Amino acid sequence: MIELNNIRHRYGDRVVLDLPNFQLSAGEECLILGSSGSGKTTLLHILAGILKPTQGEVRISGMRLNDLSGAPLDRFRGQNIGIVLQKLHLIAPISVLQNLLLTQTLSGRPTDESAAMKLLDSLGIASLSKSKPTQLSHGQAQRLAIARAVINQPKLLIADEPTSNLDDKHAAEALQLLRSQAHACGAALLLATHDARVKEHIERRLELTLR
Amino acid sequence: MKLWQLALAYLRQRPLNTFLNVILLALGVAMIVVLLLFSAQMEDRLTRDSRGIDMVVGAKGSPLQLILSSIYQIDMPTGNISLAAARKLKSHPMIKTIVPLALGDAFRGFRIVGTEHSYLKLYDAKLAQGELWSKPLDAALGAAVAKKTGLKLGDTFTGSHGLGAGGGEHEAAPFKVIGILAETGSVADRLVLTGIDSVWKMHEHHAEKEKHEGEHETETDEGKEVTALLIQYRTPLAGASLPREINNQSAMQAASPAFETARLLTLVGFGVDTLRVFAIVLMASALLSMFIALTNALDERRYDLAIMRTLGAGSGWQFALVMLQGLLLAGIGALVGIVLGHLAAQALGMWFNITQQMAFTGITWVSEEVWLIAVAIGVGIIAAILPAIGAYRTDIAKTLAKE
Repeated sequence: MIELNNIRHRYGDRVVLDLPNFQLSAGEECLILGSSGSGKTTLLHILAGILKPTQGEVRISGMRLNDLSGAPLDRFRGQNIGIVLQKLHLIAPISVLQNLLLTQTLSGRPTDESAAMKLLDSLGIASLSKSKPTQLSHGQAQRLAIARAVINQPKLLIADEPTSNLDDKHAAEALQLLRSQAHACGAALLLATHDARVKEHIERRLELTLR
Repeated sequence: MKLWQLALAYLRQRPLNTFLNVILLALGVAMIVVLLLFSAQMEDRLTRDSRGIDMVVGAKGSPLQLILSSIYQIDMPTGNISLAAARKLKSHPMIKTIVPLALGDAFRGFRIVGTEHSYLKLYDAKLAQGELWSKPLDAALGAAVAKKTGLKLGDTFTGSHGLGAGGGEHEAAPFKVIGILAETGSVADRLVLTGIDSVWKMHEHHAEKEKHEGEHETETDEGKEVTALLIQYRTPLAGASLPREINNQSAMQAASPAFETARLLTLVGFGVDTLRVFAIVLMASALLSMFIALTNALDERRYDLAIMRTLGAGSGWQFALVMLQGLLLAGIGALVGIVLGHLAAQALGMWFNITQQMAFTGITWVSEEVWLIAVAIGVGIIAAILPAIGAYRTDIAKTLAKE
């Protein structure tokens, strides 16, 4: 499903990531652990096709990301990979619902307002669909970010430090939502974190070491 | 969600900034619209009023003044010429028609022009009601005069001496309205037309009572005078010799409407050019302001752009997003400017109308406005192109890693 072969990435002469082999199948969950500077973000960017590894191969549902570039790569990412970043960065001038409709448009699919509303409803923020992202609480904004990551039914859901800066209650909630939403669309879930609270819930883990 | 909706949402996110950019461009556009409308209508008016008149003969003085006073009816006449000298020209082989004019009086600011029926032919003026003058003190009113004064057929009125309002009234010689002309869109609309003998008759009384100098010093039979002659050549060749002949050999001067009008337009053109430069400076500031706004917005929204890339937007999409913001600003600015320009022109026109100098309207179009819109759109493109290229080149990984 998701397959990394002999990934190695350098910034200049410095090797920041060296990962011989990694596989993740549909519906599986995995944590990426490591202290800051260990290449977590770099790995996520490579998995998302945002960054090309200096060396090695990335396959997502049979597609070799190395072979894609430009608009086709952007399109593939939009349709197959959902990303929740540490900083949510919702699109501020448009409404909650429009954020989802925009996401559908950007992936190259027609907009489906009822699907978007249904998703907002399942995340408990349907009543805020006309609000602007700036009017949301942090918890609500996080839900919208998760909704945005799964609206296109991705094969892979990636989250970068989704629980940092959250209190216990909201952290548990965010984790639970990510897992349930990934489960709902049958996506593999990858969480980069150093949050001990998350480690209790997911067994499989990939440890990156500082080099 | 359409691209333009998103672009519009971004513009609305900074309402003051957007307003500033739109209004700067709109002011520049509006100013040029007013200038275009003014130039076009003035040129149109000047050429229409002088169409068919090859030469004007009048008393010696400024040729421009002669043209302004006898064709456009806006300046004081240069003086009078003797009827005898004018009659002599009538038999000149190179002259086709002569329309004599006798000026000097006015009615509520509208000039009373003593002339012959042939004057109407110059402007294709037709009667709307009544008939043309046949005996002294019959008058036909131009359309605008009838409208403004409310006079009807059969009404009488007295002219006042001098071309402005407020001169002494010729109460002993009241005019009778026997005709009202249809609108022509020319100078004839703003005149009270009558026979030349009416003007003479009016001043006979004066001549008896008091001796006064100037335009109307008359009048024994031989001493009769007219103010100017509007002349049509029989052949274009006349233009080469006839004016010189008249200027050299008589107490009269000949002036060419085409030449003097062109001279006048050059004089006015200088003022128009100055305003035009000012308008261009305004549009250039709009361009600069738009460029700065879009560049700042790009810096602030780079993360948004990177996020959109992760959501599947190609880099061409981001180029288009920034470009579209520039185009929207320019398009809105151009439209607002054109509306504003026409409103301003109409307001000016109403003000001109009050002073009765010239009919000027904002409810008309000139083809240059299409070019103006194109130029405004061009401003938007130039202002947006660099920021758009910047958006196109946004490196997602670096941008996302930065925060």
